[in-house]
Amino acid sequence: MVTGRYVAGRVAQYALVLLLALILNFIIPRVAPGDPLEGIVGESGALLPVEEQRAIITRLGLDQPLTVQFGRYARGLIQGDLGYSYNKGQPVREVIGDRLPFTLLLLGPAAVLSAVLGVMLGMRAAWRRGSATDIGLLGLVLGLDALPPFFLGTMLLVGFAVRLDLFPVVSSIPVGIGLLSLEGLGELVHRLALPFATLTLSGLGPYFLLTRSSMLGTLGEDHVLMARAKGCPAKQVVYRHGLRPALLPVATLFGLSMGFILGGSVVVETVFSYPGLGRLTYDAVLARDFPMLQGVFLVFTIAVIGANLLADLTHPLLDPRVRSAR
Amino acid sequence: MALLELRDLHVSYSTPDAEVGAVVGVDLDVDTGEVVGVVGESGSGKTTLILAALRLVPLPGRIVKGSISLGGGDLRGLSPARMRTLRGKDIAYVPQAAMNSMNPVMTVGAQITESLDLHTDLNGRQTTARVAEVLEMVELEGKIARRYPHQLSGGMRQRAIIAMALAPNPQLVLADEPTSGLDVLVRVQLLRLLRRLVDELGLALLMVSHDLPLVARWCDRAVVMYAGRIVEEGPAPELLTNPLHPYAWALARSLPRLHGEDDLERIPGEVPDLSRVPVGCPFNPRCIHAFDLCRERAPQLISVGGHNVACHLHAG
Amino acid sequence: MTPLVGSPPIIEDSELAATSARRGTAQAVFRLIRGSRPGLAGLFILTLFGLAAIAAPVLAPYDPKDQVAAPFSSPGGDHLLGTNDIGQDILSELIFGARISLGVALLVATLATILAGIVGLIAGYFHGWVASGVMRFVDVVLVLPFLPLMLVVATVFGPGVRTQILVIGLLLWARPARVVRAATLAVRTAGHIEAAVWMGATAPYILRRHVLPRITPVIIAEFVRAANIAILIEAALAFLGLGDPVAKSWGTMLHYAQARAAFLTGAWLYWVLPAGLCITAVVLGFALLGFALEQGSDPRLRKRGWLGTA
Repeated sequence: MVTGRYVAGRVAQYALVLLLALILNFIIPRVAPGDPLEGIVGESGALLPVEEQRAIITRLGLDQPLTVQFGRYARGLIQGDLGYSYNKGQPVREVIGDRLPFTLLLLGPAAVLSAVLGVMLGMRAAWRRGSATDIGLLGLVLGLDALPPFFLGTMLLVGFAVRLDLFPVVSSIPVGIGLLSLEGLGELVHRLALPFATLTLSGLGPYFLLTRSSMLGTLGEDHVLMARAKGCPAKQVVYRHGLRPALLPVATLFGLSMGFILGGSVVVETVFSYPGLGRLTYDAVLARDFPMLQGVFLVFTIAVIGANLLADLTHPLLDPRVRSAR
Repeated sequence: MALLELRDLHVSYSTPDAEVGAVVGVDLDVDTGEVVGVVGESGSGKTTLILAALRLVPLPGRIVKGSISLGGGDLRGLSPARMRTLRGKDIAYVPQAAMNSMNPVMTVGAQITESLDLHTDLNGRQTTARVAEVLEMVELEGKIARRYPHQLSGGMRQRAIIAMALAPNPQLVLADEPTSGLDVLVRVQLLRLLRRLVDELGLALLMVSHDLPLVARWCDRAVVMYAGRIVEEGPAPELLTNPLHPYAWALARSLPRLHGEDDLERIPGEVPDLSRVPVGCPFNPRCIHAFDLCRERAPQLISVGGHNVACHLHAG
Repeated sequence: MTPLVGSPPIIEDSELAATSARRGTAQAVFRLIRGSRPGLAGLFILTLFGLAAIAAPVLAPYDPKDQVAAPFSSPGGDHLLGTNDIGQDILSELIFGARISLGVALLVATLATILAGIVGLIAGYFHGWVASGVMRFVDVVLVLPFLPLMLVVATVFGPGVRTQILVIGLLLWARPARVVRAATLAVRTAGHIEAAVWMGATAPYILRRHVLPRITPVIIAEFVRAANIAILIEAALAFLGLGDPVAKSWGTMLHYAQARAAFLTGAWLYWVLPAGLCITAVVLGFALLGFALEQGSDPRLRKRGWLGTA
């Protein structure tokens, strides 16, 4: 199948991405200035007693040639070993495993909602090109887009949590929260609302701009004139003949912007003290906990690859030309 | 009374500098069972004429004055919603073959079905049957309905578009260079198909082309436009063999001959800039016969030996 | 996320590239900006901040490194925006911060654009496996999650302006490289370039003489876009504590404000808000400029659609 070959090509590319991420993870600490042990096990590791340091060096094979080290490193990864955080005193995988669900809970819906909102508003703007709606939305989005997410988050925090006292200042999730009860869910929504709003608002700009310009393009195409000459009502022209063919680049954006959204989650979780991977990253930066940072980077890379793959798989659904071309 | 009647039609585009007349005072009739060909170079206003009849002139253009009537009913006064229901139903449009006039993400069948859903109350099964019927009418296989436009050749795509246009049983078809960009063989097949459909279904066809010999071969009546104005009209074959207006004469001479010299005789000079149409006859800067009067007063369309022609050479 | 955002995704903009290429030199770009209200507004904002950065020593009432009053002083006659947690004048920090924030953004954008220009020109001009290999690599780099990777690198190499410039610049080139390549491909097929090849002109000569001038508008647009993204990324890195503690940018100021929980007290009004607004304004300036360039050079965007008819 042609589609099969297309997907295989993408998968091969993502395998390369993963390999590059691994190589970077391996090389960066080893070319870092200063004590190589610190580069690999983090600052807390370097504070350990000498015998223990020596034990770590032997265990990680840091006295072996680089190729042997890389082999060992890759083998460990395949077995799911992301390293050990001397700062947390826990394997990196465990810590990430604990935090990941929180990030997914926040990020997944925010990524989807920002895409949906961005596309809908972008379509409106393109439809009413040059109108007050279009210009107003454009100005609003450019302004929103210019706000650094952490600043937007801080302002929402000041306004809605500190001054109006509508939401909690710290969005941590209590361990015993009963997600099965209505109350528990309500509590969760209450705590998630502000970081969720921040991520959604700061993520919708690119979708808006891309949908708008992509649709302005399709609305000028011949088949749109044909649709009008056929007697299609405006709504049908806009959705079926304007928006649908314009969605292809938007799907691509979904994959690519995942990296940006993840970056945003780091700062937004930091602002709201939300116990996800982003906040974990921030703590790791402050503690110079390199194994943790590398583990998070790897997990983020895999998430981005997943999002891209998802976008690639929707391509043939959105555009029959992709299905048969190549 | 003719099916389509255009009277004193004026269409202009507003630019920051001026109002540019793309169609200027055109009178035109198209009758049922008749094929009328409008001939002119690009920029002569022929495409605008078709879009005006559909009331789809793109902004910043607009119909400034004149009347458009279909079967005796006035189109200019209709509400946009009412006009929309006429488009596709009574007036069908066939775009240039070279254009991407089919939605790339919908199958051919879905696009024909869309037309039927808009303008007929056929049920699901009847619709499917009608799609198959119109595809057969344009000599395409029924399985084409499941194909996407990019999977078809240019000629097949144009047939599919004709099928889509004819599906709701229109009375009038407006075709804008329906065969440009196709190779000669396919072009002839398509024109034969169009001609046959007009005769069998009793359609009225208004066709625009830059190719006078083609119009002469396939149309009943030919209309020559220059700078948005009609400069000559008459029976199609006649207009090729015996053109009266110097511009029509030049068009008739510019045919690429199949045998012999293949350098077509180009009409000297530039297609006029519609924002600066010369005083007098618009063709005068390029006309080898132009005399003083041509640079002073615009000629009126007058009847000469079965043609209508707007030229001072024939006025006296 | 914007800043992480700012720019629409990577589409093969070869059409855009081709048209701008046809239009030619950089002058056309400036004419384009002059003719667009958003473009002018962007230019105005950036000029304002640029002047403030240059004239910082004159404009700033104090040396931002000096402790000039009690910590956490509220705004008053001597200190229009009060003082921070160690008693430095916030207004002065803000004015000097423009130098760091703008400086990093411009240096990063320059670095990234030069890299992108070289890679894009070569990959677009030459055919064969080297070019396709390079583009493959570009695609791979594009997928990496930037901010997390930068955090790893910046943490390992230690905070500082130099680390920031290198890290951001080395990761930001991939997208513009793609666009430059598309533009080069479009220009390469132009008749007079083929002719130059026939006449035996060398590749460096053709690239410099014929290709580069025609893709300059594309490169300028990519520079603007890169600066837009760079300033947001710098702010994010600095906010996370990877800014230079000595040469404080706006992001670094916000890091300290966050660390001291300024948002809980009235201090947000003069400590958080001004720095945040400065970042926003500069990003907006670049974004408006970029928007004007995009609108002006894509013919599809200038054409009116078929929805508006009369």
